[in-house]
Amino acid sequence: MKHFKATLSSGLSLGLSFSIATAPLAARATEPMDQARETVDALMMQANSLASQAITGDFNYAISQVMTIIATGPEAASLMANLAEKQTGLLAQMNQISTLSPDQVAQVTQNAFAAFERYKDFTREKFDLSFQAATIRERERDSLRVAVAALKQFNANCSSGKGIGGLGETAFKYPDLPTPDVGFSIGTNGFDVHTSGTGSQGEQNRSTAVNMSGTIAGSVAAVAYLPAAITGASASTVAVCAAAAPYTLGAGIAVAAVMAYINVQERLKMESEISQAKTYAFDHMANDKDIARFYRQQCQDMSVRTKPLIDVLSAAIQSPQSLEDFAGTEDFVAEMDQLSAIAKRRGKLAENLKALATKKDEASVKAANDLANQLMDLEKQIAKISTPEHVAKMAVQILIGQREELSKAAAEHLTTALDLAQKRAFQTILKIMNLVQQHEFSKFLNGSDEIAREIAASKEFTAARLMFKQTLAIQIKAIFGHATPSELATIQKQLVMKTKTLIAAYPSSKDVKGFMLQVSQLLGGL
Amino acid sequence: MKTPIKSSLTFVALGLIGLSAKAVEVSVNADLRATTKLTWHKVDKFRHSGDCYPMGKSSRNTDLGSETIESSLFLPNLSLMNQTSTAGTANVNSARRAVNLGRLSLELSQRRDDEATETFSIQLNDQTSFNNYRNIGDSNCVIHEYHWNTGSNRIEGAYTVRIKMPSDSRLLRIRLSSAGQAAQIAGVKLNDFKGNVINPGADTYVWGEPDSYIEVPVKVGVFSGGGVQGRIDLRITQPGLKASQEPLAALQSSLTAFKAQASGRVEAFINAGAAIVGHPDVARKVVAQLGIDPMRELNDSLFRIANASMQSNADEMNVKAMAAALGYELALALLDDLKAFCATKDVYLPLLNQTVQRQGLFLAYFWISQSVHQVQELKFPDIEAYLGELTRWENNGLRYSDIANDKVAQKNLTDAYVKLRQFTRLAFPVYGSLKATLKKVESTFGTIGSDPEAMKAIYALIDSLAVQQSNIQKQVQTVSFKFTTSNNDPVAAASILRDLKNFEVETETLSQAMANSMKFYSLKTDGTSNTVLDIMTESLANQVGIFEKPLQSPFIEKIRMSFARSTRVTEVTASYRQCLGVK
Repeated sequence: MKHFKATLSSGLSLGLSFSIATAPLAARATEPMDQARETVDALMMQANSLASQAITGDFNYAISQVMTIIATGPEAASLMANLAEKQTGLLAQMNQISTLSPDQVAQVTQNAFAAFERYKDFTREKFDLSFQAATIRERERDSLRVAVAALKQFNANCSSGKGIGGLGETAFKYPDLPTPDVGFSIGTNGFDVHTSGTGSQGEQNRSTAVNMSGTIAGSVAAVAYLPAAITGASASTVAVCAAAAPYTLGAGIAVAAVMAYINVQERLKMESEISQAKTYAFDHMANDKDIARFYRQQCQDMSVRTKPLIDVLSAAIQSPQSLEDFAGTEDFVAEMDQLSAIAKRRGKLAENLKALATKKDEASVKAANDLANQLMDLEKQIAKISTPEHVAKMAVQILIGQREELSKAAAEHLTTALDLAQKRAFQTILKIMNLVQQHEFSKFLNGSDEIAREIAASKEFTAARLMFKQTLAIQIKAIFGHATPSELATIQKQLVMKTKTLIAAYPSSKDVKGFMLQVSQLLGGL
Repeated sequence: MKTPIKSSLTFVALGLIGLSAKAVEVSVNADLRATTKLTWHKVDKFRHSGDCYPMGKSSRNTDLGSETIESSLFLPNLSLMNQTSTAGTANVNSARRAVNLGRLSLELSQRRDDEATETFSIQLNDQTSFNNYRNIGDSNCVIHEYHWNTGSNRIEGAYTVRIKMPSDSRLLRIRLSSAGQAAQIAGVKLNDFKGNVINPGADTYVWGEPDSYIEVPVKVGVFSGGGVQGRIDLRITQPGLKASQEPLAALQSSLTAFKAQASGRVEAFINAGAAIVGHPDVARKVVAQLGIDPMRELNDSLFRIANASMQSNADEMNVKAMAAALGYELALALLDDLKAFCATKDVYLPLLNQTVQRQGLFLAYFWISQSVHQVQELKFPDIEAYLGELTRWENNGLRYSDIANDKVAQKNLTDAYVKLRQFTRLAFPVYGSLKATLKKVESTFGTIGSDPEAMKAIYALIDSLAVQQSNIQKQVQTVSFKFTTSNNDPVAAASILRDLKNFEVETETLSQAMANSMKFYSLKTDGTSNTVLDIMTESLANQVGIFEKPLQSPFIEKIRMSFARSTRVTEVTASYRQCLGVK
């Protein structure tokens, strides 16, 4: 299988297309309240369109971030190579300690301590390296966790009607709805409905990535989101509006709002109706809550669709060895190239469409209609490639490629070798330090030290006391006729000599004096 | 906010180790601003009646323009103060129409989940009305309706959850989760934790200095919708309180679980470790409970785990850190105790009849040498000679009366017994002296240095030998008094002789047991294989060494910094050099 090494550029967004159900623009009725309702409906439709753009932007952003995180990785390979190099150096240094000659080092105590400090430094460095390796691995897993978290957060945001705002970027802001000036007026030319948009500013405040989605992918997506039932001029008109100025209402309503004639008697009634209509429209204008509601409605199936990707990334965190199970056989390099080409073309078409947006002549509308159709075709092609399943497989390919690079650099054998070298080095250090102490201890053991003399005396005293018992034993045996007089005489003589030696050596010892008395009693005098 | 741990189970567990549980304190510092944009609309309705407008008059609709309301929720220190919940609120009022559109509130609450775990919840409530409100000013003929439409109510700003590490804890487990429409709160990221956060994620161990603060910044990007709530929950566990066993037992069983790759080993080890690290008294007690071999085995295990590499995940990184910290703390406790071996002390030398000052290591050698010499004195050729003669009589089938009736034999028996009785008393003070010496060694060098169980066995063996010797003396006396003319029983002394031989075998056992368990105190005569020096070298070079100087890895360096005790390290290093005779 050809492994895919991703080089996703930040300019590439992978969008998933989906359909929404919105009411088609129907023929406009003539009653003010009906028109007001249409106005409200139009505002709602706009809110819906904004929600569509928001969700597309957010999803594009989330998925782009996820793929970028996966593709760029933690630069693990270079870090691991650096680690391996350090480990090799440490191994050599540990081995140097192991080859030290303990006797020679211990002769000069300061050398011994220098070796001890070197060992400590290397041990500390080895310990440190063990964390660096772990940190690299952990960073890799962190990337995946962040990616999963991004998708999960996207799903959570969907369900709550809130844009993404995660991944360290500027928090998402709802695109503001225009504040409509619902100025219904009466005249021979019918009603004029004026709206003024404020949403573009809000959009500008979104993160760069989302902005990108909003301008290029978003405008195209807006076309793709049109209901299938809307075709021809209506479709192109709305598409142009959406693509060129997605947050202004304008022509869509104006075209529909036509009245032929209103007489003076009806005027009062009409004014009243207009007032009611205005009130109705005012009361029912779309606001943030409506965008959130549409947002929620439109992404209900998103969690289902992002699940395969989350599953793959979670598997990579939990058990990287099972990644192959998820891998496909597609040539992702070719597909990515294809996707990039489509994205470029799409961007160009969208720009052209935007240029036509302000023109209302028949030729421009027709040209816009053609462009919109082309954009929809491209959108279908993108949708075909960028399914969540497909993206998931792409992620797997990247992960597998990264893992291979990591395993090459990991150099596990160095760790084992280093462990052994450390043990050998420690044994050497131990020998050196023992020799240093032995040197010190030899001064203590050479007999000139008082404690050494006391221990030697104690040993002598113990031997004398044992001889005392042996003498007593011989005496008892002699009583029973089982020891000869010469045996008895010999040991008694020895005891006397030993006792006198003790007395001479330790004349002031109470214990020795006491012992001398016991001997004297045993032998009947010294 | 103080929430004392009151579980009786915990008290039992902590009572064993002398810990007192300190509470986690959580407070919130918030600076939130609400921007509410609304438009006003007035509708004048004219009453169609003879008194007012008999000809009728259509309603008049007037656009009153827009209004932007800025509200602020500034809470410098929202804390529970012995309550389970508290909240700060800000009203959203229209200055133009004197209407309250709702309010914004931030609530902090706490609940205890178990003896070691509390959950703190921080909930942001946007209770601003998006619904229209009609303020009706009525007169006889005209009704004024004032409508508002809230285009948006956006709350932005941030709040910071401040978690204070308990004064006796260095590690918390924090699980961050969200509830309600928590996604309305943007940017809650454990990556932003200030403190030694090591494992960004939903469930993380957080290391920190006791009494230090861990701050969880929460950005509120745009919180909007009216009537929505967003909540984050911080489930905080003090791992050190999770141990249900005595610390050493818990630690050892967790290490066994590691060897067996048993499930739950990570949590068990962290819990056991957390009950020890940062608690010097507990660390000292753990060290005191360990003999030489178990101590070195524990050192090895901890050092191996601390140095494990390559396969680490977040949990294992915590385990590595805990193993390193635990090894460091235990090693310092050990080295503190071992300082007695390197310090000089007065000692009286009875044979030289002098008092001299010497290093503890030499004193240990001296005292143990004395003890060994005393054990070597526990041989009784005199009693054996006496019983040997009686056994010969037994073997010859003689009766007590046979000897009593034989004047020469009876006289020899009496002379031998009197002599024996007169002089064997010399050996009696050995046991008391031996025990006194061992006690002196133990008290001088602290509780460290010997396997407590082995020491118990040695003391028991000394007591047993004293009893055995006393019994042998009694039996010797009893059998000696049986030699009467009327006692026709056969002489029976072989069993006493066997007892004596067994006794002498057991003295060898005592000698060996002392050599095995007391070697920690002693030096071999050639100065090599000195266990005190070995374990000091090992502890200083490995366990203490790895935390002695700064490390490159940020994660472990932060933890090292919180544990580094340079003064203590300097002291134990100086002591080590002193032990080696280096100034």
